[in-house]
Amino acid sequence: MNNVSLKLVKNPVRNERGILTLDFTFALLLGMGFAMVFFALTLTLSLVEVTQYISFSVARTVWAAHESQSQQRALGNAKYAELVSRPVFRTIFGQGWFRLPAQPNYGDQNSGFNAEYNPTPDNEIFYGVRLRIEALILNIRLPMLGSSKTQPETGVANVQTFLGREVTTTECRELFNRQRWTRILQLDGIYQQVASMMFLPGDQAVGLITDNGC
Amino acid sequence: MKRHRLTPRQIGNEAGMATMEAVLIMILAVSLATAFTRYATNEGFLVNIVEGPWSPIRGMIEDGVWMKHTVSKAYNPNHFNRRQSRRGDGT
Repeated sequence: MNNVSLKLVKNPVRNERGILTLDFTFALLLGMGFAMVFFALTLTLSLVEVTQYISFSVARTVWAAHESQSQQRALGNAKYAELVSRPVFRTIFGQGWFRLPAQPNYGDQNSGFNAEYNPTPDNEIFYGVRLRIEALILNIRLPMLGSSKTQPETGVANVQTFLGREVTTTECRELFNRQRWTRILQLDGIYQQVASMMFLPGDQAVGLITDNGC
Repeated sequence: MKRHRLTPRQIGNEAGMATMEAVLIMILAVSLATAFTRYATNEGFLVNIVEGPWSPIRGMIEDGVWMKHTVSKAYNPNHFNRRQSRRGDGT
């Protein structure tokens, strides 16, 4: 045992060896705490970007024309399920740090979240997809620093994409071609004779000229 | 009854002084740590970091503007007047 150690054993009160450990523990606690908070914040912002891409991708899928609006949405749901079930996303979202809805929320002209945007006849035609993301990771409670969240809305955001929606075949046939065909027949009796000469009932004639080109 | 009187040598004994001071310093350190914890909790250090900027961030996420999400909806591009209109020009 050297002289210094011998002195410390004889005078334990003057032993200052633990003070660095104490300082290190205190600094590590604070440093790790702040590191956790900033990690949670940056990860949240990154995942919001990922969610933004998912919402855009779903909106793009819903946008394309189909037989009916429900089928357009079914394709959007399939795209959403495909994206969130990919291994990288499933790993991230499966940690319990973030929560996404089971299915996307679609804006609608008559109902849904479009109403929050005070739609007018000009802008209500923009359809969209909304994904409500909840960052549970932001709910942190650290010793000496307290809690990071006091309101339930913190860490919650509606990620949404407004792209619009192409007219469906059904809408094109029922709301445009059928109406036009009916009006044409009503113009003059001669047109009704032409329709009967074609040996086609009116509905089938409407169906024949549907090309989804409304 | 015989009274015990301290000798000058006993009065001059400083053996426990450092221990007493160490105890006082520890009390001071614990008090400071407790006060810091209470201050940090009451002032909301973490709340200010996380919850403070969240509303403007949410405004940007939802509507694309650096405003609180409670007022940002009016500035969403969905409200812009566009050429695509059911009522045509002049509306």
